[in-house]
Amino acid sequence: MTGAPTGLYIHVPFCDGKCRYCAFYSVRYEPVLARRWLAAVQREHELFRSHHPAPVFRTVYIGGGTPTILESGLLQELAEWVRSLLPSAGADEWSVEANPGSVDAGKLRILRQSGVNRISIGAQAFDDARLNILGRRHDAAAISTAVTAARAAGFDNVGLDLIAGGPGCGPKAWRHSLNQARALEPEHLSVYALTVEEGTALARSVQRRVTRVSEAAVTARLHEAQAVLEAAGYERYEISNYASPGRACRHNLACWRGERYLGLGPAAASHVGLARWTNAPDVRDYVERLEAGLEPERDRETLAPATKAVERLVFGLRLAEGVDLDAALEEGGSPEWRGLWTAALERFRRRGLTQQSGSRWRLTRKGMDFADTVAVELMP
Amino acid sequence: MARDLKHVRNFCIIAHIDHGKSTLADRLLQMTGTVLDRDMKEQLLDGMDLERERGITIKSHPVTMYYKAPDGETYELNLIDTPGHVDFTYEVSRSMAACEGAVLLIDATQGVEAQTVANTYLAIENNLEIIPVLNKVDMPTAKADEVAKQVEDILTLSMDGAPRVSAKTGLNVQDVMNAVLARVPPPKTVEGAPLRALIFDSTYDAFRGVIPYVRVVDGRIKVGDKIRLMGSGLQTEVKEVGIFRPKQMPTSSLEAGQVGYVIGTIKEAEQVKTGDTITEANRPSTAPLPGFREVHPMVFSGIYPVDTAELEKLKHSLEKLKLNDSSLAFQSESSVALGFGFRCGFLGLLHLEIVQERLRREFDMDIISTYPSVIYRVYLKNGEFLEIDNPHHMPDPTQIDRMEEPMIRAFIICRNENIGDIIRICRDRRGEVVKTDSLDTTRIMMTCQLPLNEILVDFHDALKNVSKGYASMDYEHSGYQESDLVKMDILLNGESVDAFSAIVHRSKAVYRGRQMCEALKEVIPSHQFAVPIQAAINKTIVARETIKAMRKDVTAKCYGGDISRKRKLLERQKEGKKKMKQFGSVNVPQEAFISVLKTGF
Repeated sequence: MTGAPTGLYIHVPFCDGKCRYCAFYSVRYEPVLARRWLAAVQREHELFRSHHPAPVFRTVYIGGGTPTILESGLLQELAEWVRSLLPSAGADEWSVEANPGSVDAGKLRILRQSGVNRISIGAQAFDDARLNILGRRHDAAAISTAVTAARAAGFDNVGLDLIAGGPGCGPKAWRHSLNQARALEPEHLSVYALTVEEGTALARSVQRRVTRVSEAAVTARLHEAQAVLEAAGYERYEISNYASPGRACRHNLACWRGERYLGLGPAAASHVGLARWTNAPDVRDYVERLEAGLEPERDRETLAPATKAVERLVFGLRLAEGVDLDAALEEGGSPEWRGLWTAALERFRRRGLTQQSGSRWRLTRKGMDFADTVAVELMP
Repeated sequence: MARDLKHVRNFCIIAHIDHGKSTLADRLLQMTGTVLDRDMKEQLLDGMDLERERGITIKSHPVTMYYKAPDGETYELNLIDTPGHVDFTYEVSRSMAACEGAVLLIDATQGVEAQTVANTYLAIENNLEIIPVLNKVDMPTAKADEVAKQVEDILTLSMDGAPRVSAKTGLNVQDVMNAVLARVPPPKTVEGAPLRALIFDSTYDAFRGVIPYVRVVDGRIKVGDKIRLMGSGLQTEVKEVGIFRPKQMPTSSLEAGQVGYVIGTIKEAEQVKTGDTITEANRPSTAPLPGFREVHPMVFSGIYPVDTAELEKLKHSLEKLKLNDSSLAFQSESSVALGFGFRCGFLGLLHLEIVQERLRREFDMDIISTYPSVIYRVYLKNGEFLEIDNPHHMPDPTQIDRMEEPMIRAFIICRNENIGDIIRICRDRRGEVVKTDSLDTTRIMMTCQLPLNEILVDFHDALKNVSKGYASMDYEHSGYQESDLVKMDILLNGESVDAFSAIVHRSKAVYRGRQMCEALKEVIPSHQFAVPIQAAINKTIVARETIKAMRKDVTAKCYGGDISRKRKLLERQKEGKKKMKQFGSVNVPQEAFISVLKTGF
């Protein structure tokens, strides 16, 4: 069945506090609520299954929030339940996000034994002063402890996240973070530009002019990351993501390639065929509705095939592999788009932002700094 | 029916903004039973949303009321609610010409204001019997005696027995009615003379065409009459006549002294000009009523559709507005920067604002308007003479012998402690204070001579700012004066953007150039390259700002796999970009045009 999702995303909406830059939905961890949340997630999956044939999930991503904040028993219940949804050989890739402060050897062992084969650790920075500024609740030492524990638990695919730019992220501090991260030899590194998201503590601080996020500095840090990480053998396979050969995150790739995934939990987004829905973020409301046998509150959208084609193009361009115009146009859109897109991409090529090989187009290194400019130009 | 003119009174109400004119009119309508209490809504005569919101009257709103006086007789009272702003001075004066008396309403908590003065002068010019009335006397802050003295001192009107009312509660409103009956003279007419009726306003109805509002001076108009407009020469047959109650109500005829409307078959608003005289086609009068003149726009601005595909829609919208507003002038023009649009002429700033606002609201148009201009007179060395209202038409400076600009006389009323600030504001705008009169121990009236182009944009705001809202201003035109004027251009990335060009006084050019560059820097987004913004006079750069190049434009990640959210963000950016105008390779948002308008001199 062509419309069935091949990816599964589960949103764990709990944290032990709020990082200053974070716009993901989360609430403070409460054991009783967390238990009800898991039951509701299972119920949401059942409701989905009552209308859809059994999907074959090839990738699973459990994100948050902080999945590893769940106490061991509940974490195990979650992992075992997810395992029961998978084919007998397990998923090709099953990632779980972990925070250095909340993960321990016991939890890592539970995850690994259930079939999780990839751990993504939110390092963000390697100096305590900056971790403090970001509102993180762990120190630099906790990161290497977590990586060591993951290796000990048997994980051969470990990712680290870093945040570039903002206060405390001068060239020296940044180089220190990059070197520390590299020294831990992760298979995967995400390097996110610090983004001032609406509604965050950071946004309020910027508005009050207490904090300034210099775009020029952020860009310089990102360029530095690319130089250091490529020299160390990582490939920049997506604008914000680097991996050792063969270790690109498949779930992440699937997202940008427009593949189908089912999202469970508050604030999770699903993409099944041309249908899209995003659950409302409120966890209590989510739990109560599902306990009453109702679907969660959702934003729904049915994509026009043309919209899907545009998405394939503009999001495919974020990947190093680029995007094939013919493949994008197979999704929909009008035939004259090919000419319009080619003309626009050609203009960007002359400005050094894109490159072409046959019907496949990619962003150049410079183009990756202006992916949104290119995207907006390509939209109808 | 032979009419008894002794029982007719035609009058208007004049007042400064917010002094309670519309509220008083509402009370009179209720008192005379013209409008039932249950149909009453606030400011009934101000029909347009814009009028209610701003508390200003744009169109004339006549109404006929029947009043049973204490003497037992029934009187016909025609109230003509006049526009109350200097921009519409001519319209106001024609509305006044349709009356024999004026109720001058003064807020007893505020006292005499600038518009009170300007309107009173107009009423005196039109030989109206003026009945001063103090309003809001029920307010704890009312100082009726003090205000009465101001009226006597400044306007030299007797306040003996002047009604003291509260239009809001209805207190003593009866006295106003009785004063109108006692003091406003009944209309005069020449028995047997041919028809003469003054057109004091007109409106447009999609089905019935242009409908003139008239005051019959001599003779009568009835259905079937063939009439002629003496100024425009238009002839038509009368299909309907009637009075305002306050809605149009057909009658068999309109007699001398009456106020009403006339419907013929008139398609062109152009042909019905305020101030024209209607006479009978078969028995025409030889002498039109005095005072008719063509009104000429004083302030000009280019209006362009944001979306160039909406040019036709803009044209139709302007045409429709013009049907109701014959003083609006427009003709096609094109700008290198903005494409095709219209050069529009307005009576003044308020008129300009109203038209822009109505285009946006009533016609749902997204428009860009250029910096307003006045008419400059240019004398060339070769003896030629030009009048220009668009910087684009300014001749090469080497050909110009001299230039002149229009001046105004402004009346500014303010508190004593603001005198210094206001003199400074006037001087900053190349003006001078020619006279000061004290109104009372706390307030004075300054009469100032100023160039019109200096008050075009933010003069009013500046006055309100320094006076915390207390100063009031009104003005009249006062001829032309020689002036050292230059054309200033704004260059974006080295290319001149004609829509930002302005004619400015040489002494102001550098300051103004700097202000414009700073304002543009704030609103033009950064591009992939650095964008210099320069102000130039005769190709000499006098000011410069630079918008730094954008370093990156990319979203770091996608929250929770929510691709839709990400796409919608991009779509929103795209929408924003579509609304921008592209000059060369520089994108300029609409706000740029507005923010440039807001930078004062």
